[in-house]
Amino acid sequence: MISLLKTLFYFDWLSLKNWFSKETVSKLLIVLIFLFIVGGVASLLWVFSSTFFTYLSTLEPYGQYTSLYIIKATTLTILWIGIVSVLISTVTFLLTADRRIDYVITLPTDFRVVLLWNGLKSLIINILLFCIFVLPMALAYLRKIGFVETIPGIGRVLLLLLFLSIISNSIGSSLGFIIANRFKKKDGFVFTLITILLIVTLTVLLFKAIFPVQLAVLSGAPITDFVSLYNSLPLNQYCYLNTLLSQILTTGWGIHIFYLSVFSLVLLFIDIVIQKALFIETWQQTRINLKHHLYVFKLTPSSRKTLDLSQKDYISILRSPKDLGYQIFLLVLLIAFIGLFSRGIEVNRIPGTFTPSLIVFSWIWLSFYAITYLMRMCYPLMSKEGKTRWWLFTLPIKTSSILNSKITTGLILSLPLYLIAIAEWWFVPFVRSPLFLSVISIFSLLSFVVIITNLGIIKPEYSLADDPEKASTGLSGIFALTLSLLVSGFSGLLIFLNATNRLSQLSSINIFLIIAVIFITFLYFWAYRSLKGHSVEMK
Amino acid sequence: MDQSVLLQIDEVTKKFGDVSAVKSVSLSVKKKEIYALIGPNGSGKTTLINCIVGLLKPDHGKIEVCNVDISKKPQTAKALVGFVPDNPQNYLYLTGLEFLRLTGRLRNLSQSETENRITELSSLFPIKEILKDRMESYSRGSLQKTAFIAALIAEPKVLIIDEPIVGLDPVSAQIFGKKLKEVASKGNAVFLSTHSLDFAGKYADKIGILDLGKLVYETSSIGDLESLYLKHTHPET
Repeated sequence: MISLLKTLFYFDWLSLKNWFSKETVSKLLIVLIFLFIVGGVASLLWVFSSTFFTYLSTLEPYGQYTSLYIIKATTLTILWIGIVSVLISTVTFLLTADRRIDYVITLPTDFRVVLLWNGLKSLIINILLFCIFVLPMALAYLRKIGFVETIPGIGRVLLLLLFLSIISNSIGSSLGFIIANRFKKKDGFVFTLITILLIVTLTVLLFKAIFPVQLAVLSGAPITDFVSLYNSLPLNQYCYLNTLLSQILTTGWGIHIFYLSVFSLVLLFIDIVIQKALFIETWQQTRINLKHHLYVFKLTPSSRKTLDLSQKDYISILRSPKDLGYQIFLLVLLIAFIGLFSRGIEVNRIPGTFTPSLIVFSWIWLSFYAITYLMRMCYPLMSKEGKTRWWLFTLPIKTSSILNSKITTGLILSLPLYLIAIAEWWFVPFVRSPLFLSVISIFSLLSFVVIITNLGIIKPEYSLADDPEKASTGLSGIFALTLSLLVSGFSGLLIFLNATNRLSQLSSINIFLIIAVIFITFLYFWAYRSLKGHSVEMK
Repeated sequence: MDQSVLLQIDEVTKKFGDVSAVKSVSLSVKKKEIYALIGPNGSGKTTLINCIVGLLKPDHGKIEVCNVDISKKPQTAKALVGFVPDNPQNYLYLTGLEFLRLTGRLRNLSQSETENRITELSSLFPIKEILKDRMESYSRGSLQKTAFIAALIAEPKVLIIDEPIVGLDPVSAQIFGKKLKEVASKGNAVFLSTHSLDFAGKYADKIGILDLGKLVYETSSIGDLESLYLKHTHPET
């Protein structure tokens, strides 16, 4: 069993090595950029947490209670994000036919090893992901209470990470297996819809639990009422698991570790039982093609060839569990962050002098997510043609129809981003001119779509049609990312100048539009020329 | 050009780096003719076919479909050609029916014309029922049949097929052959490449043997195809 597990990990290592062997420099650059961004986010979180905890600690006893509340809220949020991400990745893993897994399953091996292999990878990824968010906050808190340099202090952090990973992994994976198993059955669509509604409802409840109405009363409450009001908050009253998890950081070893160990082991056991019972049946179901859910998104003829081609693309995306899962996860994450961010700012009443910086920060946050989303969804639109491009390129249609169809698909896929941008500026409390910010955000997002889609067309990676997430890791992907970040920075500058009354709204929009139109026109013709070339060189 | 010639290939050469995949090949296919190109693996059959359908640009030479130069007027030429590649990979998340409807639409057919053609062509093979399923569940043979229907949907003047019967059961292969005959008999031309000497011998009107990128032999009188093939591709045997 161990030797098989080692072989499977060796296969992972080999595929990683092979992936790096082509365009190594650009891929290393991507990894470095990624590490830089992750490091940057973690450092920022550490600076914020450290300042916050140090500042709050001077306001005893409010400070201690508020610090504790922040830890509880962060732990709960991370736990929820972990559960949702494991759930989505499990469902997409089970619903997407994977030749590698197919091969492993046909071998005379125990399929439980495959499950263990997959589970361990998921656990490691989760721990690493949680490190980015939990580690800075935990270290800042422990530093404040004088524990950070000690082995017990580090032990507390590692234990918290481990429990968070096991719990979120077990819950997410069990639910994922149940959903994936039902997906292709008769009631699959209804079941999936109910699950999505449940996730949305629980996210709203989590939001309400962290930011209840009582929180606003709390900041003005006299010291005598503070503790009773604080204890009546939903996060302190009902979220027992969350209290146990945060106790690892605040009190160290104790009976709560025992409770958590038992709870985690029970969850892990249930997860193993569910996986063992459903894996083979669910995997076999990826090959069953029932008609009942085919008509959810229908391909209907339109009056334009561009729209027909575009429909083919986005319907394929909507029907691909891998693409749809990623889309839902990233959008849920974006909405959750914007929601928490706007509410957090309101609750803590940041002074007005920081408003321009906060507006720019909100924009950079939004554009960072938008670019990540577009790099995953729009950049690979051409690469995804892969082996099917024989059909596309032998059709009697103009090159511009293909190009326009890809841009149209990109625009359709980016629709949620415009709505989120508008929602952000109208709901975030410190914004004075939401209309201006909505307009400039929409123009910037449109520019991202055209830049990223066109650069994906200029140098497509047809060999990565089955792995669209890897398509943007080449040199052209870095170029698309850099250009989009430059546009984001430029918009940020215009927003800042306007927020500090140094540039009028009309001038900001005009400057952006003139530069964007020139730039996008150039990219469009470059993509057109390139597409014309590689449509007749299909090797 | 002779008006009866629907596909004319003149001195076509295609290189990949230093390797010449196709070396100065010239041939023509007339109305009502089925031309079968045979040759060993790596002889350049697929490269030549990809040049004909516009997926590759020849380094030298000219290809005309019904007197239309594919490199000068690709859109017009492509409208005259129906193509089935070797091991066709269709859009897995679309149903066969959606794929065919989309093809009809993009090949300028009206909705009713498309539906009529799909009904007519899908009755050729027992495929009608599975056309409602997503192509991710199709076997290689079903993908091949769907691509064949897509190629015929707009009644092309020239039908190009790379390895028509790989992945097909004997009955389907026979239906395929008969349909090719029918297409040709209506005044169209069929150009195919195959490894099956039996299929070529049974259905082709003209045979070309391609070896190491060169057209080494061409004949309309098909006799003992196996000896002919071995003589021109493996003279030592």
